Amino acid sequence: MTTFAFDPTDPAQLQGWLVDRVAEYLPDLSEPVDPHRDLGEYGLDSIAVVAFAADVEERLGTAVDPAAIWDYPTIARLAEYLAAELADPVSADERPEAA
Amino acid sequence: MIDIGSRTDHLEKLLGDPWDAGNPAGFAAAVAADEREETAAAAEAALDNFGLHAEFVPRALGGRLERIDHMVELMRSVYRRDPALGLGRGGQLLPTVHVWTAGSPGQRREAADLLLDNRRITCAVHELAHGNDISASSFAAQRADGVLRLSGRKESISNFDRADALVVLARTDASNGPRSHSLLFFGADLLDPARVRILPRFRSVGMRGLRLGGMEAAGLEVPDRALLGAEGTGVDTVVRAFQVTRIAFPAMSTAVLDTALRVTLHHTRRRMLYGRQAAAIPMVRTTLAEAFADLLVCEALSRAATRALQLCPQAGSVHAPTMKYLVAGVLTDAVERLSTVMGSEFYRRDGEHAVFQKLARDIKPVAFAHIARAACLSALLPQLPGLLGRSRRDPAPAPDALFAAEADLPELDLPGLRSVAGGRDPLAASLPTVLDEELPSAVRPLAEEHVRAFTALTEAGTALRPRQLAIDAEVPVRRLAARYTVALAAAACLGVHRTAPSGDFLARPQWLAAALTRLSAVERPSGAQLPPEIEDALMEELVDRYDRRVSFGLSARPYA
Repeated sequence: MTTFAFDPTDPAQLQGWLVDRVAEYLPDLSEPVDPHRDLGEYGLDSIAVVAFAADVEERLGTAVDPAAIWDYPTIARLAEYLAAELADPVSADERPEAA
Repeated sequence: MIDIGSRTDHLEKLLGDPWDAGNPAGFAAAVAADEREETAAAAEAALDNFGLHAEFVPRALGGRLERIDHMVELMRSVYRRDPALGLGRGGQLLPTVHVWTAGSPGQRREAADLLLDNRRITCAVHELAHGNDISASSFAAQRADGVLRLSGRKESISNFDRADALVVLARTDASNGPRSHSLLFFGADLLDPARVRILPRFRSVGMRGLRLGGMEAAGLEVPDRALLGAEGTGVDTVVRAFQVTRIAFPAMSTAVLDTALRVTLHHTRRRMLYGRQAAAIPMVRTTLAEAFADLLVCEALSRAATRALQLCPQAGSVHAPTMKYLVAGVLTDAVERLSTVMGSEFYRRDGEHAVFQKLARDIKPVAFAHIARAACLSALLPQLPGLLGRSRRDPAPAPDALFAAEADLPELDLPGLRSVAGGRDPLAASLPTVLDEELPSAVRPLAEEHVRAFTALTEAGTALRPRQLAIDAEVPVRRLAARYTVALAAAACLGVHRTAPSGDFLARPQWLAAALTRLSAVERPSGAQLPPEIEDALMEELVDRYDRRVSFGLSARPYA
């Protein structure tokens, strides 16, 4: 199991980590990623989404479907979703799909 | 249910000896039908008589689909006679995997009843304008007063004009991203001629018996209940369900190489040149032995990938592009090389070897239809660093059930397939462990070479920056994904050898040495030759199987 320098079940700490991580996937980034802005606006295409999802899944050790990144399209919402998933995978699975 | 061995034997019997010129379902009939851009009517009737479509319907719905590996093995009996017949029928999987994955109980029942009644469903996902970029599809469905109003074009759709129902991918949201499309399932009786134009047939070089059609809809109305799965889940379902078909079609296509090899043997053993059998000329002999090894490689990977769909379903997103890339490439190259030793016979549309020129054309679509080989590397690449990193971190021998001739498998769970593997691929994870086993001395250096190559690949792959994995990836980066597919095939061959019962041909070192040598040659076309004693062993087995009329693949089962 991966060990972290932060608590991945805390949305705020996870958000900071995701902001750094997603930046690796974005072309021509001139400033830090705004956690409240849609990732699509940064030019994150479908192949990069697969790579990003695979990367996050690998590092966090919890299933991350690429579709989740579209359902929770900002880093803030994604962090909230993943933190809940990590804290209690069963209840997170049972939540209805995002609209 | 009747076991798979009895089913394949029964189907072989129904379709008869393909070499018999009087057999209306044989090679001569397939070639004659191909000239008319059709399939042989007697062969189609035999398949209906067999109830072939039940092989694609899950057992819970009254069909015989329990295991993908068994379904593939049965379909090889069709493909080996006429690939167009095989793809036309096997093509029923394309729409139905979506219904089994996402359909309501009522929709599943409806699709099952159609297939169990020998009727057909067509799969309208493809649009020429967007190729493999499915999420860019523009055919649209707009909601209006309890109906969905369809407009746009769907093209190059097999058997469009003879289908009783359709599965269609339609855009239900103008925005980008994988939540913008939905799948629909409805009867062909809804194709109102005033609102939909059936496109003229698309004509092709190979697979001429397959009718490729399409439609152009302008305000065609279908009821809301046609939605297959929730609105917006279309691409997600397609990405998962097509893992099955992208593994199954290349796996069935190994039977095309079986027949190409059989026809080449038939010709070169009779042909006398320079006072000896053509088959005895070293260049011809080497080509035959290499093609046999290639066939075994393709079937080893096919067995592991089809079994993994049930044993390790998370790996489907990795094995599907691997199969479509590697198996399609090896098969098309092998048929091409066999044509060089067929002499002028490969070019003839008449005579007893006329089926060869048909196979040489029919094998081509395996490399581009459904998804192109190039797109497969693009699909693999984003997952590569994670897969390689995990195989280094958590190496483990692969389960025997991926490779052994007989193995029990968990139930097929199509909704359980995932769009990413999370780095978990049992074949990749097994490579760092293969040298821990006892290996024959003829094999060990070759296995070491593959393990070294995989270690180097792991170093290069895990060092890739995320931005290098995108669709515009440089050629050397894409080659890493190609090398990954070679590594998986090597792991599959080692696994098949390890689990083969002693005394079996597959337990002998020669075929494995040949397979690993051939796999090294995938990246270096001028790579190592098979040593003479290995070539001798392969030729002896090949000729023996030819004389005994058994298949050249892993199963060595009786052929009519």
